[in-house]
Amino acid sequence: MREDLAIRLTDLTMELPTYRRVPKRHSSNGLGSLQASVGGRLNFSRGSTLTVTALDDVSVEIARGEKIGLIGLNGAGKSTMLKVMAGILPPTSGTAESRGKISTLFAESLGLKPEATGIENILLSGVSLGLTHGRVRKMIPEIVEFTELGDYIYMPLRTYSTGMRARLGFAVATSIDPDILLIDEIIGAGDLRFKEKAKGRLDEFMGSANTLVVASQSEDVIREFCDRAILLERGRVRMTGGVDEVLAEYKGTRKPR
Amino acid sequence: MSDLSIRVHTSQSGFFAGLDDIIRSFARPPLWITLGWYDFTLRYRRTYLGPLWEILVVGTWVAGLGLLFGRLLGHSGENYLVYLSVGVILWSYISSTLTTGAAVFVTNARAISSINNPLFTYVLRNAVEHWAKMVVHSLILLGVLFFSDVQMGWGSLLAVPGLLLLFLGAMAAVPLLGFAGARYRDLTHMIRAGMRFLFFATPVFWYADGLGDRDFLALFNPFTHYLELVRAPLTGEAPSALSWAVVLALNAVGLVLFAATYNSFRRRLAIWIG
Repeated sequence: MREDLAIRLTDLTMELPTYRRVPKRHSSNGLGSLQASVGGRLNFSRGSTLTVTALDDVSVEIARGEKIGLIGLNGAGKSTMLKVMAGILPPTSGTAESRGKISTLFAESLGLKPEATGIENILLSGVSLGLTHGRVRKMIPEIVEFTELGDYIYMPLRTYSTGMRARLGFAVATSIDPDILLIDEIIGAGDLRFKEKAKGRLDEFMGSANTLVVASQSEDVIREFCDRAILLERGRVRMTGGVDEVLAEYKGTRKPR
Repeated sequence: MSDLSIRVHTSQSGFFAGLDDIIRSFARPPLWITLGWYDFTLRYRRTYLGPLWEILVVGTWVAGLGLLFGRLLGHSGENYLVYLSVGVILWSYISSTLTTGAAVFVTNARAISSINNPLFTYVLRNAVEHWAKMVVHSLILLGVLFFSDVQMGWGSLLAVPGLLLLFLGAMAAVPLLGFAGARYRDLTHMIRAGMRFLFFATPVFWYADGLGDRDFLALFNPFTHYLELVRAPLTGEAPSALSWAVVLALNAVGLVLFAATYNSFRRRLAIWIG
């Protein structure tokens, strides 16, 4: 991988078996075979189990310091691509390479323990991301200030709204000073004020050497946080380029054809 | 300066990638001790008695079985209470470890699919939770010993290697069951059904020699020997050579199976739980 790259996906295909038998499609409901405009391609023909091609022969290069927005309809492969970049999903074929410390902020990582308090969840997420107790303890006041959760920080996480969880998750994920930060939606869950603060925090924590990849449906988030965008369509890269042109293309595809 | 080494993820990876996963897991005790400890204590959030419930649950078993079966089976005396409480404590460890072991990756699916941490940390986390439980349960044994005449000597220390062998066996069994349970979701239910039956079929609260010429029913049961290695020294006896042989052989088989499959299963796990 070239020195200036942070992430490179090469000829990457990700097939996800569903471990379900191929369902009968011409059943009594009279629907027959249906054309989906969302999701990866369903491979009914291969063997007896159903697989989904979530990413289909994708090649992407992301330079160090780039702020990338992933756009696409539901099920276009945005989350799968982030998980492959993070090294969580092993590609079916092709390679995924990354350089440096990665921090992830996915919907699944929010609220690890609903019964534990905000403080305890900071500790649990912190150690999960590789910090020691001492480091986490030093971070807590600053995280509390950023999240503006106040006394909620002593409350169990189950009392938090989605946006409040997003604030907490975002604060922890950015505080470990990652070289690469991968974010799935999340920011969109926050309110206007949070988006402003998140932008400020990214500028502060993520200098020009740090790479950011954000998947989002929110045009505002993409415009605000990214300087380049990748448009995914049913598991393939349809277009990469400047935020404005890719968003324009996306709006074109979003209309039902 | 942070580490800017390149990580490559492809569809193939060798035996050493699995070994690396395990080494990196052991190198991060703050992670698995903290998470394991919270797995243990959060269960009792919003209860008044907290982890004391663990003592009450297992204590009820010991007291009930002691009163009822001690009389029914003609076992009496303080020695039986020690035998019984060690048996129940070990059984509750074995049964809970295997049942939760089959679900260890499924219950941690959210964490596994959102943070790229070495997989073996989830096995260690499960172990910490069960060790903590066992420490609490051991208070029951201490209580029983306090009110009995059973003397602990240097020979009792022989229980330690037996206990370590049990922990080691669990450490190989839990990931194997965890992989199988992630792929085939029936496994957890199967183990639950099996453990319920095995509690009665294993000499936990009865003596194997009470079976007379049918003692093979106990001797063919591997759990008999894991119990024996820890319990015999605590009741003033030496574990039989057969028990040592069976436990060592089973642990060896478990570790070989684990080493042979860990990496390839590890690679596929994210897909099984996704």
